[in-house]
Amino acid sequence: MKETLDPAPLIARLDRLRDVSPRDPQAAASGRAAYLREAKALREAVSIAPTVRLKRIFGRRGARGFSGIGWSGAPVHALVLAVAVLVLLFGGAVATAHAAQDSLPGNPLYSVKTGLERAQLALSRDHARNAELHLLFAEKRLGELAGLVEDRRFDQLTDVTAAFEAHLQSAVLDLGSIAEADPGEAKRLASAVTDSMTRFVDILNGLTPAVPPDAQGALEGALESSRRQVELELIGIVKVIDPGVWSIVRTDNGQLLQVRITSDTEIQAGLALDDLVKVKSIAAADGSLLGLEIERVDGSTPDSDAAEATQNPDDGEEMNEGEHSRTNEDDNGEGEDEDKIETEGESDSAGGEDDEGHHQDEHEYEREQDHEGES
Amino acid sequence: MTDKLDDLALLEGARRYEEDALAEIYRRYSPALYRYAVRLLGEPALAEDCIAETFSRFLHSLRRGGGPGRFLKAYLYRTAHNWIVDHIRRSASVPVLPDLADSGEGQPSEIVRARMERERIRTALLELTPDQRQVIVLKYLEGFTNEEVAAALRKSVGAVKSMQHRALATLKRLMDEKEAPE
Repeated sequence: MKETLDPAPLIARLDRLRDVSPRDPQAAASGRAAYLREAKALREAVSIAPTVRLKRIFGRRGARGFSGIGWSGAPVHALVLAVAVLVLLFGGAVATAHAAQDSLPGNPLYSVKTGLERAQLALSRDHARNAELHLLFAEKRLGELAGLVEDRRFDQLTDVTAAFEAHLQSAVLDLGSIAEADPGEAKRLASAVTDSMTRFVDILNGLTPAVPPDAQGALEGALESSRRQVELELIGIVKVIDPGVWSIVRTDNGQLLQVRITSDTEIQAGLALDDLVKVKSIAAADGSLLGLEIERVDGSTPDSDAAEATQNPDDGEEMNEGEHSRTNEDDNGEGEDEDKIETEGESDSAGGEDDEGHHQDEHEYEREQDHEGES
Repeated sequence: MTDKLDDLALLEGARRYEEDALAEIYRRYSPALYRYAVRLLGEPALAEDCIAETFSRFLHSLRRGGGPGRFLKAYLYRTAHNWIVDHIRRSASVPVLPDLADSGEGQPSEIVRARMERERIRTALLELTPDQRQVIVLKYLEGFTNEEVAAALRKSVGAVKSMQHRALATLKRLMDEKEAPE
């Protein structure tokens, strides 16, 4: 029988946290002053367009220079002016590029932002850097989605989700290419990509309730892309152990898989033929599986019944839609990804942190709860 | 409703970076946010850092044309909460001796017992998932309505109610465990 909870005593105990020592008035005043100073500085820091700045400089200089002194006859002045022009031009470009980082679709600077991203990709010479850039840009698109939702500009979601999906797909493709040439790097990146995608799913799930039903379709493709499993986890029985490849028969469908083994593959000591194992791998561009980790399924012995083992939901390969393999958290949601509230607002360009300070990696357990609560 | 309208008017001013509006927002929300931060962080200095960063992010967000759409209060709490979660994760330890007011009455042993009880509650709170924790704190300590909690967490009211129920159950279990004799 389900136990019923009387919340009253608990709430009464919580009440003991209510009283807080008064805030130090000096600290409060200092905090307020710092905030208003920052507001003032930001207000004044609004970038003036380079052309306007040039016009102002030329206007002032011109008015003085052409009124009598004439700065064509003053080489020093000309040199100073030339330097000033260069500084203004390039300084303005930098300021514009910086300002563009925060722009949303529809903003005139948005094309500057995406153009800079394309340039970064074009300058990147290796798949690893490409994959990292694609992930970074995907995260930016996600921030833009949040910004568009915040601004209720739902009609513009589709373009951004398409760009988001394209970046994710490119990141996965790059990862597959690295797997062939540099398994160690591929392993490191696979983990990063998987973590990012898990975060993306959480964020997108958080955004969805704020989007009207007729516009939610735009987010579905992005969700689907984020749910892509980068690291494949499967349960199987070891059939062949060769130095460069292990053959493993999946317990769920009997398929025989060849898992490539490299010096970066972590293999639990003592594994032998017919052991029931859990294999973490990534799919390389050629479709082969690159082994990341192979370990014996807990509690199994070489003679264990494989079918029985696969019924353990903690060990099973099959996961519900949107779930990630690292969901073995306890009821408190304790886990290494425990984090914060869903994304809102725009993303900062660096560090994957948005304006509410998210790192955007809220964990899986919370999402499950939301789904339950909303059903 | 008046508060909401006021908030919307304030936000309009804040988006134009009007000093009066920005100052009023700070005056209106920083005291409650400070208490909220102290309850979870336990240290006044950290709570001050949290408030400073929360309002700084708010300013930067406004400058980029972002920031809260309608729910200013929810936005600020969400931002503060995220800072707190980040801090706890970074520090990897729970600060002790929270700066919570003592009644100033009773025997020293009673005061110590009261402090230990508060520490137990706070530690249990910190062991909840972030959303669960925020539901409990906002609802029972900050006095938010379910709708306000839903806005702060960007969830539906139904999801908030459901989460609240589970959070209380988990909190009770955690506190029972802490009180159980070893």
